[in-house]
Amino acid sequence: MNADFALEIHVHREDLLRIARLQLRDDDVAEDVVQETLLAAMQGQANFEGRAKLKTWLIGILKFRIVDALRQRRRDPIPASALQQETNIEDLEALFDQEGMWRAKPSTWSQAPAEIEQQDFMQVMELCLTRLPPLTARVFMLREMFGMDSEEVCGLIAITRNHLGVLLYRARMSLRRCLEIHWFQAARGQSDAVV
Amino acid sequence: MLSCKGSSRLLSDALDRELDLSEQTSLDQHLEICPACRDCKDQFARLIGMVSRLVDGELTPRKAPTENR
Repeated sequence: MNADFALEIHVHREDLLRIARLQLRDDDVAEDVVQETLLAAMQGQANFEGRAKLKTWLIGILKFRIVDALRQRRRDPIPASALQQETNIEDLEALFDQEGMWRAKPSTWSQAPAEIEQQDFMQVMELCLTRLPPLTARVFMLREMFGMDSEEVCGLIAITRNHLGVLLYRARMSLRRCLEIHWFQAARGQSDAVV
Repeated sequence: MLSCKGSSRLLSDALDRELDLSEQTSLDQHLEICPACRDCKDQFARLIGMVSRLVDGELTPRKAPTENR
């Protein structure tokens, strides 16, 4: 086993752990999944061809491990109360007036954060993802971070297409609002935010 | 006439499934006259890139909604 390669891999441990935690919302399972990922990476070093970035390759492995962990959890169905709560969008309706018009209109977002702000932006993004309810965060990340299609996500989490649509709507509406308040408006020095 | 509330939901759905003709038409008509919903559409699209950047890698390319049916 190559000690240098082990070191290179471990540099990314914290990043992998953060993604796994956001996705699984369970520190122990996240630790296990990352441990398995690092082990698999060590054993599969020959498969790493150096063309992809190391981190990208590791995240590819992590994705399979997370999906596996979620598949195992399918045996414990999602509590009906959680699904009911997160698919009830009454709270989102408060963003609109009685005519269904925006109370606080979305703004035009400025260009992508400059290189120097990247780190700060990612912290805000992470904060916003953390604020999403667990099931909502999970389906959003499977869809947008791991690029799974709707059928796959529904099959994995055992929810209907309709529920998936509502959860993704919740995720997008909450994230856009959170980023608007904590990044884009903050950057402009505005404080007219209505949470 | 589609409201902003209805429009925001369709904007989200359109990222995951193909809208039917009447949905698409009413959404297009609404976007034509509503700058706020055009901003919302742009924001939803930007979220995708932002989340991908969080993992800093070229992950699985996102599949087009038409492939999801």
